[in-house]
Amino acid sequence: MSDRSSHTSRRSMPSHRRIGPLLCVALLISAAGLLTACGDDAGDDSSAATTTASAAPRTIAHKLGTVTIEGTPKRVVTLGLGDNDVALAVGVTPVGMVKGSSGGNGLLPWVNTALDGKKTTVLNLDTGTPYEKIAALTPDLILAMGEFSIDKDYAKLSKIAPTIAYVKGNFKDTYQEQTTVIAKALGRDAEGARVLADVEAKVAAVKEAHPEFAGKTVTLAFMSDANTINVVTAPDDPAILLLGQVGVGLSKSAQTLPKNGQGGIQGALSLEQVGRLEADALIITYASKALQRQLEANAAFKKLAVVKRGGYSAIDLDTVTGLRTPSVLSVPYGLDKLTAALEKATS
Amino acid sequence: MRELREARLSRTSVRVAGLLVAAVVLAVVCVASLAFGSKSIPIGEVFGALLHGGDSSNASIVTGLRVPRTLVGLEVGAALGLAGALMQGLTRNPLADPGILGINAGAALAMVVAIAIGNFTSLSAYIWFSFVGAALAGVVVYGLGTIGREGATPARIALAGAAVSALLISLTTTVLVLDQQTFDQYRYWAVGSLAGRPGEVAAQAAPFIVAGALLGLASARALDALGLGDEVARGLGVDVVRGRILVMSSIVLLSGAATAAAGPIAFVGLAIPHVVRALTGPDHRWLLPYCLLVGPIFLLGADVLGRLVLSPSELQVGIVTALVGGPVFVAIVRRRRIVAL
Repeated sequence: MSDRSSHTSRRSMPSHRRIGPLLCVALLISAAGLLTACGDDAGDDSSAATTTASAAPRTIAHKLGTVTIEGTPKRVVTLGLGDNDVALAVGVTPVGMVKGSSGGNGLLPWVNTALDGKKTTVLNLDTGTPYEKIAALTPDLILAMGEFSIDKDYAKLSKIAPTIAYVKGNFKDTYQEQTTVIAKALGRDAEGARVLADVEAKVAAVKEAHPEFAGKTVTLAFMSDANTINVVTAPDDPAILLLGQVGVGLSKSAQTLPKNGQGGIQGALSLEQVGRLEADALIITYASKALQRQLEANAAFKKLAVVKRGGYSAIDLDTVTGLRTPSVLSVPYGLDKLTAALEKATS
Repeated sequence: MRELREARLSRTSVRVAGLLVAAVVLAVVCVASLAFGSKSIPIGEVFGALLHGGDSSNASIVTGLRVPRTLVGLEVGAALGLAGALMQGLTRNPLADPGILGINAGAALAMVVAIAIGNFTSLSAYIWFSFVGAALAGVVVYGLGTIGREGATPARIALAGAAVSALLISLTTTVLVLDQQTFDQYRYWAVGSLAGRPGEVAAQAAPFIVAGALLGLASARALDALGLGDEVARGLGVDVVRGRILVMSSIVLLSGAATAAAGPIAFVGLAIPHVVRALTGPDHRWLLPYCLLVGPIFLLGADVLGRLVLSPSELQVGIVTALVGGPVFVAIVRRRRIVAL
C-alpha cells in the first residue's frame, strides 16, 4: 500500500530534524550554566597586604570545636554581621561576606564605608547557606561567630575550611569578646585591641559630652505591621546596654510590658496601646515607609507627651540592626544616630 | 390546601423573626466591638466619644480605631458570609470558599507584587492592587471554566479554580522566597486582620460590597434552580449562563473587596453557610440574607475575642476565625448530615 513508503521514511529522520532538538537541549544547558555562574559576584580579591600580622601558630577553642591557624589567612569568608565588621576593622578584606541589608548591594552602610570600593562577594544566607558558593571562593578561614544557623552548618563548613563559631553561645558573646577572638585568628591582635579601645573611648566621650543624658529613659520600638509595635523590653539587649553606657535607661513602661518574642526580649503593643510608648525619648524604626506615615498620622500617637515635646525620632532599620548585633563598626555608626535622637529629645 | 398555606406562612414568619433576631444580635456585637479593645476604656467614655467626639486619646481610639474597624468587620463579614454561600451554591461543593475560585490566590499575588515593587506611601495603594488581583483571578477562573462545549459546570469551575490557584500560589511563593523583606511585610497581611487598615478602607470597599450583595441576593432563585441541575433549571425557565455569570460577578465583587480590605480570612465563607443552612435549609432566598447577617456576627465576635485574649497586643482575626471556626466546622460535619446542596 502507498502508506508503507511514508512509514519507512520515518525510521531514518532527515539529519536537520535530529539536530534541532539536540541543539535546543545544548542551548538550555549552557544557558542554565551561564545563569548559575552569574550570581552576585562582585569579583573577588584576596585580602589586603599584611602589615603587622603575626604569623605564629595559634589555637582558638570555640563552642563547636577547636581551630589551629598557622601563618596568615589570606582568603577569609565571614558569615556573621559581627564577623564582617571585625575583619574589616582590623584591615582584612574578606573574599566573601554575608548579606546584612536588604537595600543597595546587600551590605550594611558601615561595611560599605570600610570596604571603600574594594571588591568582595556578597553571600545571601536568607534562604539557606550557600555551601557551593562558599567552597568556590576557596577560603582558608571561615569566621562564623555571628552566623545565625552555625549549629546546623558547622559540620559542612568545617570541611570546607577551618571554621570559628561562637565561644559562649549563639549571640551570647559580647562584641568585645568577638573582636578579640577574630583579631587573634587573623593574627592582628594589636589592631583588634586598638579598635576596641577606640570604640570604648568614643562611647565614654559621648557620655562625658552629654551630661544631660544621664538618668533619661528611652523606649526603643519596631513597627512590624499596621497593628503591632514591638518594644524592646530586655535590659540586657545590646542596644539598651549601649544606651546605658551613655547614661540612658529603659523606660518604665517598656520594663512593665509583658514579654514575648524569642527569649522575652520584646513586648508587642497594638495601636490602641500607643500610650505605653511614653518615655523621655522615643525611637522607632519601621518595616516600611507606609507604616511610618500611618503611625505618625495616628491621633493618639500625636497626643503622646514625648511626641509633643519633640522627643520622638525615627531611625532606619540598618542602624537598628547594627545596634542589636553590635560590633566595633556598627556601634560608632549607631551611636551617632542615637546621640542625634537623644539630643533632639533632651533639647 | 389551607393547612399547607398556613404551614408555609408560619414557617415564613419564623424565618422573618429569625432574621430580626439576627439583626439585633448583630447590633449588640457591633456595640461590643466599639466598647471592648486591647485597651480597656470605660463604657461611658465610649458613648461620649461616639456622641460628642472629643480630643482625649481614649476618644481618638474609639473614633479613629474602633469605629473604622467595626465598619470594616461589618462589610467584610457580610461579604465573606454571602460569598461563601454563593460559591457553595455555584460549585455545588460544600467545601467551597474564596480559595477554591482562585480569588485569595490572586489577591495574595497582587499584594506580594505591590510590596516587592513599591514603596507606596499609603496603605490604600496596596489594597487597590489586591482587589484588582482578586478580580482578575476570578474572571480568569470563570473564563477557563467556560472553555469547551459544556460551558461552566460546577466541576469545571472548581477545577479551573484549583489550577489557577496552584499557579498563582507558586508565583507568590517564588517572590517570597527570593525577597526576605517582602516576606516580612506580606506575612502579616496573609493572616487576615481588621485592624490597622487605613480609615478610608471601609468607604472604598463599600460600593463593591454593596453592589456584590445586591447582585448576590438577586440571584437566589437562579441558584435554587441551578442546584437542581442544568436541564431542570432550563426547564424552569432560568437562563443558566446568565445566572452563573450573575453569581460569579457577585462572588468576585464580594470576595475580592473583602480579601483586599482585610486579607484572606478563613472559615467565614466556609462555615457560616453550613451553620445557617442547618437552621434555614437550602433555600437560597433565606440562606443568603441570613448569611449576610450571621457572617459579621461571627467575624466581629472573633475580632473582639482577639483583642481581649492577648492584651496589650492583639490576636489577628484570621487566627481567631481559624481557631474557633475550625472545630465548629468539624462538629457540624460530624454531627449532622450536611444539608444537601
